[in-house]
Amino acid sequence: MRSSPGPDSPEPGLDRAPARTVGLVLAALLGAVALNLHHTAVWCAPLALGVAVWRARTWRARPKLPGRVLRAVLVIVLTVAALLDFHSGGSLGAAASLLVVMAALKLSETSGRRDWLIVLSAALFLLLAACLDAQALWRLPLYVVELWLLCGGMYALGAGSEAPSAYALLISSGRSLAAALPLAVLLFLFFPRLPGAFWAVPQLGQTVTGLGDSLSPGSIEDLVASSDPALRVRFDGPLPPPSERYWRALVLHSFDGFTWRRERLALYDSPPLQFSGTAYHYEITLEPNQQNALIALDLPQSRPSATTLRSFWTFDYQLLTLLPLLRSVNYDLISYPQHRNVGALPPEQRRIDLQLPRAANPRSQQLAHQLRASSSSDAAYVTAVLDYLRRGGFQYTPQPPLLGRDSIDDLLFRTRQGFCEHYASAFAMLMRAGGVPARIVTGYLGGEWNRFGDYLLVRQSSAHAWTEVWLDGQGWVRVDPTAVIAPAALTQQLDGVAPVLGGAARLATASWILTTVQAWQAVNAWWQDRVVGFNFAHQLSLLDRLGLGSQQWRALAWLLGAGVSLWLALLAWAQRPRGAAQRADGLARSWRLLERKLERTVAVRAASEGPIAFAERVGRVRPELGPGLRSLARRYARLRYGPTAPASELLRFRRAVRLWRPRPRARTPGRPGA
Amino acid sequence: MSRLRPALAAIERVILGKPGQVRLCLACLLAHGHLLIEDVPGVGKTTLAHVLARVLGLEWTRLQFTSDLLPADIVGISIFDRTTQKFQFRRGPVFTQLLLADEINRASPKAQSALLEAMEERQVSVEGVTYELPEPFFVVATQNPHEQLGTYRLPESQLDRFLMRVSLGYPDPASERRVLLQGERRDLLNETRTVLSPAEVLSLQIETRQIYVADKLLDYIQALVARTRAELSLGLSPRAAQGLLHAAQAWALIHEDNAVLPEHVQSVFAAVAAHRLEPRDGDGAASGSEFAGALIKAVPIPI
Repeated sequence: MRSSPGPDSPEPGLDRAPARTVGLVLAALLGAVALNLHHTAVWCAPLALGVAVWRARTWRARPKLPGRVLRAVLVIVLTVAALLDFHSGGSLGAAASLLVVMAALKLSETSGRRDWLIVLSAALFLLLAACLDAQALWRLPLYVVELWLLCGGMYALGAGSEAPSAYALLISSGRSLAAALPLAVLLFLFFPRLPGAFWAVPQLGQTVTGLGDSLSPGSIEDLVASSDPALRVRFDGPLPPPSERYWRALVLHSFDGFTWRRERLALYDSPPLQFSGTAYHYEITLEPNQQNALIALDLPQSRPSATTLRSFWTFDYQLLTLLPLLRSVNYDLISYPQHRNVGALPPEQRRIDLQLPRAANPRSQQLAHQLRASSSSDAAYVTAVLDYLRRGGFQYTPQPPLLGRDSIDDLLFRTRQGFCEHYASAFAMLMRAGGVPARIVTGYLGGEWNRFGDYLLVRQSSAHAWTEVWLDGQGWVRVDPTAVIAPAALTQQLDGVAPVLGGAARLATASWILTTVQAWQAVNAWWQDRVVGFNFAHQLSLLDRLGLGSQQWRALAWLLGAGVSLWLALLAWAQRPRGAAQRADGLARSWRLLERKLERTVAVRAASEGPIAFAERVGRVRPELGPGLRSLARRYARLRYGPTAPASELLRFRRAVRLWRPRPRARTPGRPGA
Repeated sequence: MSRLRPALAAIERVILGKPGQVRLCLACLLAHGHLLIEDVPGVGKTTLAHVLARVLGLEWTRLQFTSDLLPADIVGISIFDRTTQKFQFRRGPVFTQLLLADEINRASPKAQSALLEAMEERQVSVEGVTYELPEPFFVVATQNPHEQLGTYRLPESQLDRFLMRVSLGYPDPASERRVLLQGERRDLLNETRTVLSPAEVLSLQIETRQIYVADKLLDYIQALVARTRAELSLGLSPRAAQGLLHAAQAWALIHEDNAVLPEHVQSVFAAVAAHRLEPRDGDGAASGSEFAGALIKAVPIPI
């Protein structure tokens, strides 16, 4: 494969660049590709890896490329292939795939420094794409390491054929990054974040687990297997008892015999509510769920107060947002688990909550009529149906058999096995058939307490469905038929909170694994809330705490300006000339820096020793340092005592000194220079 | 610059084991200065002068200084020509490109001063008429250490006219063995080819003056000179400072640098300064070269 360098090589300099430069750039590129593995097309990473390996073997040479036509075809084919990925990987994934393809193709024709810089830039963009797409905490160290590699690669390319050891490169780039950290923090805190995050990329085609906006047998089942967090709740004050931890999301009204659906365009007045008992103050962090429903503890008193989150009530006490939730949101609420409606159910609402397809589930309808006939009131009918469910030999199972078209008949008379959604559906249908207005509520039940983060974590696996029935005089009453059929299953679901509520005995059984997991979750939650979720509202509250709340934009601008100035001043102060070098110019400072690097471990230059003589002396005791140091000393002498050199020469010398490091000698620890 | 390498190689074939001294001699020549070689007899002073002349392609004359040597024996004499009824100037041995003034301290001060005047002025005035000396003009004077009998010590004012004083010293054992094995030096001298021409030597001298000198380096030279004046009753003269600069330029040229570095100044400093700084009454006991060495170590270079 190895071919000789072409005679017309535009920048022959890099062909002589040390292998570590090429190694660093390739490592940085492959790292960036790896970070995008999850959303680029499957064939992208192997393509990049293949080209990189080939290039690593032939980096000195100018590779023989296929002809122009073939190259053009290659570009077109691969670009189309990458763009075809648009549907499976989303727009960002497709763009990342395209970047990987371009970087790989560019890599195959790199010859000069400019080409390598382009490859590095592509890697930088890939890192950005990965950051945009995935912000989980565990990826943070990977991103930092990748950024570090990229900076090292840039340093190496900048130093050209004089690139120092990879170790020195990484130390230098690490220091640069560390110096830039305060600026990053400043910009993070005070750069105005426009509400609605214009940089947020819509995640098309990506599946987000969460409650659906309809309920049919099997729809919650998928969720039960998912341990993804659905929401986190931080309480300000007491926690509600486990039996009250019903997290309300959607209310479903229309039933076609198989599936329950939402009532989209119902603009009714809700029956007035009366709250009593304990009020719970809490803050919810809701993961993106593609729905436009906010989740609240049954039942919130009012809408969230946050101005950045536009929400509205529906007649059935759903809290909806105008747009689907594509990012996680935060909001404060106050809920009263004890509440009752005052007044009667308006007739149009009674009508939609009594609606039932007459043709479907005939046997169930018959059963409902029988039970209703033997009950004296609606409340007695509810008890009778619950009794029927309790005594009918029904089983709670996460893997129920499939149900036919008349799903409720099938469930009640044939399979007798089901899950919360099955029983809620059956119960609501029986209620409606018996003339009691009923509706399905979906949401979550329970939650596990994280004692490190002091919050309640509700997972997707806690998804639940229950019913509400209208009883005259009481209003909407929550009835959870699953609790009747399988009280044990519900206790289990509520068990997540047990460690806190069950006292010391349960805490003792909590293994260190649980502890670790909870700590990790808490850190993650903090990361999601405070870092990834840091938005304009957070900025405003920060300004408030700083006492600058009144003038939002101006305060941000001032803080940013003052912070950046302070940062620059600190940098300048850290780089101030010290001691004898007080009045020294930049060249002398660089030389002193070089001397300082040698001082501790190698040798000290006598005041009367010329730079070249010094380098020669060091070269005699430490031959491995000789060539590098001699070249630096020569360049210094040329700049110091020679005719005026171009400024770029000085800059290159100063950079070379910054990057140069005496590698500690392994063998003898002596101090030959002393 | 590369022209100097074969010249150096040719000289070093004859003068064994003394690369530093050979380079100093060459630098002295390129810096337009005169050279004083001080040594005990028999270490190759004359051979050095001879080989220099031969390699550089210079016309050369050897003049043995004795106590009865007269100025006219050096510069020449006007003789009355009976046929033309006029005095005619007969040029002395000083009219040459390289004059080897052997054992200069054996001659009387009168004869010495005649030579030294010619060295400084690069011209000779006899009875009101001025005769230009050829270019290049280069005096290599040899001198036995003045402790020996029958010698006149050169006065300071005249020592100042020599740009450098170089001591060859005894050869190291390996070089001495080669000298013993190689037989007659004279045969070796005769085999030595001419590498440069007088015109090339002149152009090299011009090139020497064009070697770049940075402000920082002038600072250094001034610091060195000032230090001699602070520590001794008679420090280095401005002429010596200028000579130091030129010698350093020549050293840079020989070492193929396009600018003078502190190392160059340090390399030539002892040769340029030591003979001017020999201890006098009231000064310390250290010899000139010891003092020069200590001074180099004491003055920091400008960074």
